Amino acid sequence: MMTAASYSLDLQHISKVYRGGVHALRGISLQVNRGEIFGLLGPNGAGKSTLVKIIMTVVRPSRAEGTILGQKIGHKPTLARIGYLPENHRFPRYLTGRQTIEFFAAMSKVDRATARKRTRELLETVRMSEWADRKVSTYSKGMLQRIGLAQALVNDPELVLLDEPTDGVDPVGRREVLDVLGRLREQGKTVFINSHALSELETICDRVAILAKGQVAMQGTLEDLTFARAHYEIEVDMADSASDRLRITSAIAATWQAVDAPLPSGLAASALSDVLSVGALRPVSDRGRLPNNQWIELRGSALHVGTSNFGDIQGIVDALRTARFAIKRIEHVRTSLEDLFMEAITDPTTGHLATPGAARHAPKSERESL
Amino acid sequence: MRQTLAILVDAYRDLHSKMLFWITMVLSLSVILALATIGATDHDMSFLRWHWTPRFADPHLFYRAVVVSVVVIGIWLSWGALILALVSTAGIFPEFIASGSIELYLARPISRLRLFVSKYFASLLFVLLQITVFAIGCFLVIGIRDGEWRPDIFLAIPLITLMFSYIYAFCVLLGVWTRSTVAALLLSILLWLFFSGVQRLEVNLHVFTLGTEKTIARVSTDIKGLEERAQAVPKNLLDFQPGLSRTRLEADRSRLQGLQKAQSVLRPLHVFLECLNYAVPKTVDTNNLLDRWLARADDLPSDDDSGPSGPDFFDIDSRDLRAATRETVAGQRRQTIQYIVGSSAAVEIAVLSLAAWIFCRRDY
Repeated sequence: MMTAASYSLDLQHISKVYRGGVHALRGISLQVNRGEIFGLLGPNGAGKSTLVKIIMTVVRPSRAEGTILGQKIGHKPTLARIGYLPENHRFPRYLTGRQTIEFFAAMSKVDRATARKRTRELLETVRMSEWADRKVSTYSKGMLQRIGLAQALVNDPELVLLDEPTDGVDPVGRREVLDVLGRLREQGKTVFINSHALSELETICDRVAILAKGQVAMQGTLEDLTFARAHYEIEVDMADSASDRLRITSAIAATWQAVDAPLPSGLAASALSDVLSVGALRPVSDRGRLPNNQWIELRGSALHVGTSNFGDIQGIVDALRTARFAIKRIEHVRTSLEDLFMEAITDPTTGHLATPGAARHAPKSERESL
Repeated sequence: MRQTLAILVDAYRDLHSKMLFWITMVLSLSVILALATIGATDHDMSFLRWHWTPRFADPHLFYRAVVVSVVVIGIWLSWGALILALVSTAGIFPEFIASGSIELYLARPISRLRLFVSKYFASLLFVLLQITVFAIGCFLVIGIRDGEWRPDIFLAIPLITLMFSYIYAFCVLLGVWTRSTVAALLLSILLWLFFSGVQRLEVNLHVFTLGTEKTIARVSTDIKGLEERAQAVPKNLLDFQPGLSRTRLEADRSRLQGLQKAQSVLRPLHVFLECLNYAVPKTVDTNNLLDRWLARADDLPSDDDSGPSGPDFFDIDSRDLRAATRETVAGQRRQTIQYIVGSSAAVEIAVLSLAAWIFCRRDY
């Protein structure tokens, strides 16, 4: 049982309505455990940056409950324990890299001796020691990101919020940044990343939340989210004909002796009457469900079965073989973060992807609650 | 404290990196060098190797009244240096609150109000440094070339910084509101001109109103005297009395009417400007404080009135105009520093409060 104290971030009902009625956030609730790397994903305009800015007191929420490191949202002294790298940051161009880190250390109330020591160490960590005494106006985007990461860590924060930390960083630099984040986790720090780089998040995040239209569309550990969507794909040597699909369906139905299982998709309408006559399958939805509650779907020449247990598909394989189908391939398919992302931002009713940008007006029920 | 110090050091680094800071510094030093070319002794004045004796004033008085007061204080310190300072600092707040920059500051354990106030005072560093260097230079040059060491020239440092801060408060408000450096700069300069205009116009209208009042009293007395004398003289002899003709009486009455008509326009206008003057920062008066403190008793205009008489501006008698000017100047000199600085600071605080309110309430 997690308590508020075990969360670095415990956000409840975070809402933000900008002037002009733009609903950037609509009651976000999410929790980030201490010592984990949490990824926040979402299309442009989903409200990711607004959420981070609310946490960092840059934007004032319309409504916010919950805690950050055990303190109320907006508690300024707590910010001394948080590191922050904003998106598209603009460091003072007249400062050198070293001065930039030391300046923001001072702004975070780090004493001078510690700031100098930490700055030296962090410059090493982000591999910028050689360029430390040059003006930031001469830096490339990747170098600026490295300095940005260093200034976010200069106060030895318990929680680090990074908005697009690898934006503009070359592949080697990306790997280094991710290594730094991994080390932070080992030190027990919490890292909150806001990013579009799904492949990077997939390799490093313990948990993710996907925002769409100012709401949390999905939240959980990567394992939980992807495991629920993992399945086996059985490719069968068959002609793309209604009769073959009917043979497959009948074979599976006979094996399971199912009565109320829904009809797998892909069956031609002409085949329905035959299937129904044997009482095997009943047309309910695109995705059928077997009596053991595993989903099954026929797409092209491949059967997809919603299980990660190889034993569960043995019966199906036997049924197909009995019906004299040759099996070309059996593959355990894992859902990628990108698949999850696409699923989260797709409107289930229309199948359309969410359009970029925040909604101008909230649904009526939400307006009433605000 | 550490944060405030960091903001001050940062402001210094910012100024240090600005080309305009160094241009202004070079111009300040040029003015000091130019001042060093002019000298005054008890007998004559000098420009480089040339010497001459001023015909209308004591050389030291001429040096202080014209060279120091008009050129150094009136032109350079009051306008030149401050316009350059405003150009240099107008962008500080718009750049500070720009997207990508402000987040780095707001995400720190410092309140928005303290951040705003620290940044504001740090921005005044530009003028403070420039004027300090200039005051040191002036002190040395005036001491060497005029032969009089005037440590009170260092009063220019707080006074000019204070005067700049009045205008800069408006610049900050406009910068925070519009987020545009150009808008903040141009509108601030316009406001500055407006404030100076209001103050100078109020002073001039005060002179004219007072002068008109005096001349009305003078002409009324004349008319009364003429009328009394006219009653004592037989009517058939009236036209033959020198200085007592009907023509003169009528002319005086007509002049009185004209003056009263002018007064009916000047007085409400002056009252309006006087009220307006209460509400604007007193840039001119603050600047005059320095002039007032640097001036010595023998630099001031005497009460001796041996000038010509007769109608002048608005048909006011020249003597009355001179008297009104003296009274106005004396009145200005009687204005307390508490009133000048206090009323200006009140406006500045009100403007800054509004700017701080916008800064603190805004989402970035």
